[in-house]
Parts: sequence; structure tokens; C-alpha cells
Amino acid sequence: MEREIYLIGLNHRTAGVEVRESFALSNALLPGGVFADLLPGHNIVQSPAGNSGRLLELLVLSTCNRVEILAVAASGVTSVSAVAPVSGSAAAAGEDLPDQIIRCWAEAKGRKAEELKPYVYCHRGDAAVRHLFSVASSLDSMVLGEPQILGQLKNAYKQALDGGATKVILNRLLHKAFSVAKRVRSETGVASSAVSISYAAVELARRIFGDMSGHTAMLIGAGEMAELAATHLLNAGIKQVLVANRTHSRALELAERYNGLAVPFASLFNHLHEADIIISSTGAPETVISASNLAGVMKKRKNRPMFFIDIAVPRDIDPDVNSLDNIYLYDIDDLKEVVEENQAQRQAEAVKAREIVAEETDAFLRWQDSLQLQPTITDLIRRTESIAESELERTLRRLKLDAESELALRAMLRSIAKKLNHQPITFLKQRYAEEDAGKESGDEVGEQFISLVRRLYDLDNEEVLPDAPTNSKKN
Amino acid sequence: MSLANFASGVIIMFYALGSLGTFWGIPAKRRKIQVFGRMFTLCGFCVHSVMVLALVLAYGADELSKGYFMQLLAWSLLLVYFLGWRWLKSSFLAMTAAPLALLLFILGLKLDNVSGSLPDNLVELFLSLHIVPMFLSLALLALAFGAGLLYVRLEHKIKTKARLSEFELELPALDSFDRINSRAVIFGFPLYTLALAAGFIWAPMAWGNENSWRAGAWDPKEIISLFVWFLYAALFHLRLVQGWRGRKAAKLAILIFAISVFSLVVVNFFMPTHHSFS
Repeated sequence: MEREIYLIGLNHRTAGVEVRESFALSNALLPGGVFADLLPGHNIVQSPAGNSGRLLELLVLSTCNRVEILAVAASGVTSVSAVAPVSGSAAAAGEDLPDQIIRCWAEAKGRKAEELKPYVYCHRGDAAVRHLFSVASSLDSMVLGEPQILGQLKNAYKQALDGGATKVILNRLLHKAFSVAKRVRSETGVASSAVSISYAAVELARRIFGDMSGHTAMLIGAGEMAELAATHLLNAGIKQVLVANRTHSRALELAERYNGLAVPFASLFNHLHEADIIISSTGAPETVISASNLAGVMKKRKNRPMFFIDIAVPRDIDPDVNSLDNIYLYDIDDLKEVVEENQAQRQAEAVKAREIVAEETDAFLRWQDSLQLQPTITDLIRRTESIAESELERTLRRLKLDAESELALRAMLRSIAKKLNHQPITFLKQRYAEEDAGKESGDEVGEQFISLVRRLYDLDNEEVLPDAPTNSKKN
Repeated sequence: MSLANFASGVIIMFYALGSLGTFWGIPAKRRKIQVFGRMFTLCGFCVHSVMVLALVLAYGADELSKGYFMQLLAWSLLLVYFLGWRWLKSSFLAMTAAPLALLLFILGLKLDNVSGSLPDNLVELFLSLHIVPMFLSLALLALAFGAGLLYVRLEHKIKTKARLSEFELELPALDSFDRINSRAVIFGFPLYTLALAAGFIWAPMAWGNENSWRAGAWDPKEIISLFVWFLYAALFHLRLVQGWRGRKAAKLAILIFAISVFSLVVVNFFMPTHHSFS
């Protein structure tokens, strides 16, 4: 039975935040969730109509920036009985499967399909696969290359897996998506280099000091961005955070949060030499630190380097500080420039990443095509024959037999291979025939056994990433 | 002789495989290949060490060729490199060790046929007090030079907020170059002093008093070495006592190494001196 993959969704490009909020689908697949009834095997009545069927597999990813509904149905199926019009709601005649899903989605949120439809994109087949791979490798994210989306996708997959909503195709597709994301991450620079001001500052500090564990940072003044930078520094393993603020109580509060020390603003210059990294963001109208303040400080520090990050406007630190030896000063504009360059670099790397996505999409589609009875039988026979052939060559090289015995040996080996394959092939054919005859009303048994045989004999040379959620239950 | 040739072949192979591991493993971001590269480099170094030692024992200290001294110099540089790699945990040193080793080893082989002779008074003692410390200090100076060059370049870029190239992004932090530079100078200067002192004591003993201390009869090598010593002493003092760090210290180390190379190449090959290679 041929399968079609559908991907229906909306994201930050197609829908504003209000729309995304009102159509979010968290926990859609959990018992009681909006799509729980759509799950394969959940009270779905087989429709008598010839072109009607069921969703075979389903996965829902919902984050603050996107909703993606991934569905697999038998191809040729144009409507899904479980999504048949709820009594009372008017269903347009001739609506196809994506329309049905959209309507079901809208109705679950108490809205009309027409309200949702303008924001939704719908891909099928190769476009759906490509879109999923782009999402997983963060090419579709608002901040290109951000790492969260992969974790969110893994969670969504785990949820679907636990609900029994994924089978052969989605299992393979999602595992492939995780490995594509990993490839993109390691082979392109899409995720390298900071694209936020505060993180860019921390990366620069790393470039100067290397290991952070022996270094101290000082916050002068407190603002959102300074706090963000301090958090990044703590994550990078900085030893200590000092806080100086004109309102001392605020300094105490921040110091407590970062497990650091508050320094009275008046005695700022007595403590400046203790800090390697200074993040300044006071609201002062004139500069707080200038080069003349620092001669004594550098002497006390024995010229160990200092890194000043000035994110205040107007600036807190006189630009002449940068002219001193072993002192580096970056202000907000410098950091912005770094961030812009990094963004441009990520865009350039995204081109490479899209090539990887295209390549892997092709590979996936090839696999999907091979998930049929005939290709699998061919692959199986070819596989056993190639093993037999290579073993035979090895043996013949040692034995130096005459032509007759060699022929006999070849014939024997071929017949062993044939006999060994006979049973699995017959078995597969039977299961397939049963499925076509509709005997097995539950799952699509034939396909599952084909997938099992492909895995048993390693016909796809696939690898499973160690950290991907796996289906430990019977597939 | 054929054994030495065989050993040379093995060493070149190891260093070449090590370099391959570096040039292939790092751009491709393949950890395993990098690790294999390092293992090959270390194997090469072990064989190299055995060979350096075996040659002294086989021929005796006073029968060694000039090529042997190049070999010894290469070996010293690598020794310093590997120690730095272990102590400073600098993967950058590990990365560059193999190609450098390959280059120096092949250079050493090229010079292998130039025969030389050491004066035979107290030769073993002075081999260990003059030549070995001198080569080790030169190796440390080379390390300070390399780290200094990269420091100056990286520092300039960070200071002027210029964009770092892909290669520079792979480099370790600024501070680690300063640390390598600093350690190299602090260990190198005492060794250099020892080597120089031993040389000045040995010279009159080996070549005769009247020849050595007469004004105007000074060997060019001695003059230039003394000059280098003053600069080296200044750098040592400034770093330890005056707290010099960073750019200025790096630039001075670069200058000192440049003069030393000039002294090694130009003076030893083209000037009339007891250290002549020609």
C-alpha cells in the first residue's frame, strides 16, 4: 500500500503572534487532547465509501513559533472518516484530507476553518519531508540556527511515540530528521557564532581569556542585557560575579541571584582590579570610567588583560580606554556589528545546509519507495547473493579447485541462498496478500513486516542516533 | 647505516601520518582521525629519540656530522613542543607539532652528509652543557616566536574589532598564547645563559687562549650570541619584574628569535667562525 506524507502547519512567517497563540496545540495527542480521537486505532470506524480511509500515523509539534501537523495516510485516500463533519457543522462538499485536518484543528480551538485557513501551509510528499528536515535543522526558525527546536521536535516525537501514533514511516522520518539536524550542525556553520548581543560579548570574553573558571566579572549598573550577559558568563563557568549599583539594595539583590558579591558604588575603583570582565550599563549621563582611572588598576593587576563591555547609551566608558595596552573595550555598536556579521555568516551557511536537506530528502524518498513488497524482495535476494558471492570468492582463491567442482560449489551456494530466502519471502507475500484482502483489520501488517525484514537484514544501512527517542515497544 | 636509513624512513612515515591526521582531521572535524594523528606523531617522536641517542652512542660525541646537530635541534624543538602540549593542554601545539616535525626532520637529513668535528677536549661534558641547553633554549625561543606572532595578529584584530578569519576562530584564546610565550621565555633564558657560559669557558680551552680573548679576534658567533643574551635578559626581567605581558613582550620575543635565526643561518653558513657549517 502506498503512503502519502502530509505536513500542515503555520509558523512565525505565515501567522502573527495572536493567531499562533489561539491555534496552539499543546498536548494534542495526549488522552483528552484535541487530536486524541484521530490517533490510529482509536475508535475509528472504517468508512464504507471507497476512497475513504484513516490516518495511519500522526505527530503534532507545537511551539510558540509554529504548529506542524505531520500525518501519514494511504495514498488515494481523500477523506478521513474520523474527521467527518461533526453533526451540526457544515462541511463543504469535496473537501480533501488537509482541509479536513484544518477544520478539525480549528474546531478543536472553537474557531471556524475559514479563520485558520489563510495562515496555514500544506505540503505533501517530498515537500513535507523537506519542510520537516528544514525545521529540525533550524533553517526555518526565527533565529536561524537556534538549538531549541530540535529538542522540541524530540519531545513531540516522544509524545506521539508514547501515544502509539507513529509507525514505520514517521519513526523513520523523525530519526532521519534528527540525524539531518546533527549533520547540518556539524558540517555547516549555521549554528556557530553568537547572534545575540549578550552572547556575542561572552564569546569575545572567551576569545580573550579562554577558560572562564579562573576569572571574575563585574556588573556596573543593572539592566536586562547586562543581566543576560551575566547569566551567559555564569553558564560559561565564571568564578565570581561582583555587582556595583547606585542603588545598593538592587546590587545586593542581583549579587544574591548570581551568588556573587555586592560592591558599594562609591568604592568601585577599589574593586575594579579584581575584575577581568566588566559589563557596564548605568544610566549615567557622563562617562563613569576613563583611561586615567585605569593606570593604577593595571599596575595592581600586573597588566593582566581586562575586557570592558559597555552596553549603556550614553556610554559609560570613555573610548580612550581601548587605547591602553592589555585592555579591550567593546561598546554596544561594536557588539551589534559582530552580531550582524554573524547573522550574515549564518545566512551564507544556510545555503550549504539546504543542500544537505535536499540530499537527505531524496534519500528518504528512495527509502519510502523501497518500502514495498517487490523492492524489498529484490533487495533481500541481492543482499544474500552478494554475501554468498564474496564468501565464495574468498574460499575459491584458497582452494584452487578444478572447473567442475567450482561449478558444483557455486550451484550449492546459490541454492542455499535461495532456500534461506524462500521462507521470509513467502511470509511477506502472505502478510501482504492478507492486508490487501482486508483480513487484518487493525494495523497495516504487511508494511510493518517489510520494515522489520529491512531492518533485520540491514537493507538500508541505517543508523540510529543514540539520543533519539526510540520505539522500544513492538513496532 | 642501512639501519639508520630504515629508522629515518619509519620516522618520516610516522610524522607524515601525523600531519595527515592534522590536515584531514581538523577541517573535517573528525576527532578519531585527530587522535590517530597525534598517536602517530608521538610514535615518530619515540623512534626519533631512540635514533638521536643511538647515533651518539654509536659514533661517539666527537665524530658527529653537522646533519646530526640539525637532527638534534629538530628533536629539541619537538621535545619542547610535546612538553608544552602536555603541560599547557594546548591542542593547538598538538596540531602543529607533526607538520613541523616532518619539515625539520627532512631538513636534518639533507645536511646529513656535511661532516664536522668538535674539538675533542671534554667533549661529552660540553655536549651536555653547551649544545643541548643551547638547542633547547632555541627551541623554546621558536615556541615563543610562533606564539608571539599569533598573539600579535589576534590581539590586533580584537583590539581594532576586525572580523576574525575562519582559521583565527579555530585558534585558542589570546591569553593562552601569552602564557606559552611567557613560559618559553622563563624556561628558555636560564638555559640560554648556561649554554652561553659553558661556551665561553669551552672556547679558550678548545681553541687556545691567545686566539680567543685578544681584542678583535672575537668570533662573530660569540658577539651576536652575547647581544642576543642582553636582549633575552631584558625580556626576562621585564616579564618577571616589571609585569610586562601581551603585545610588547611578544614583539620582543619575535625580535630575539629573528636575530637567533639570522645568527644560525647567516653566521654559521657564511661567516668565518668556529661554528661554521660549510
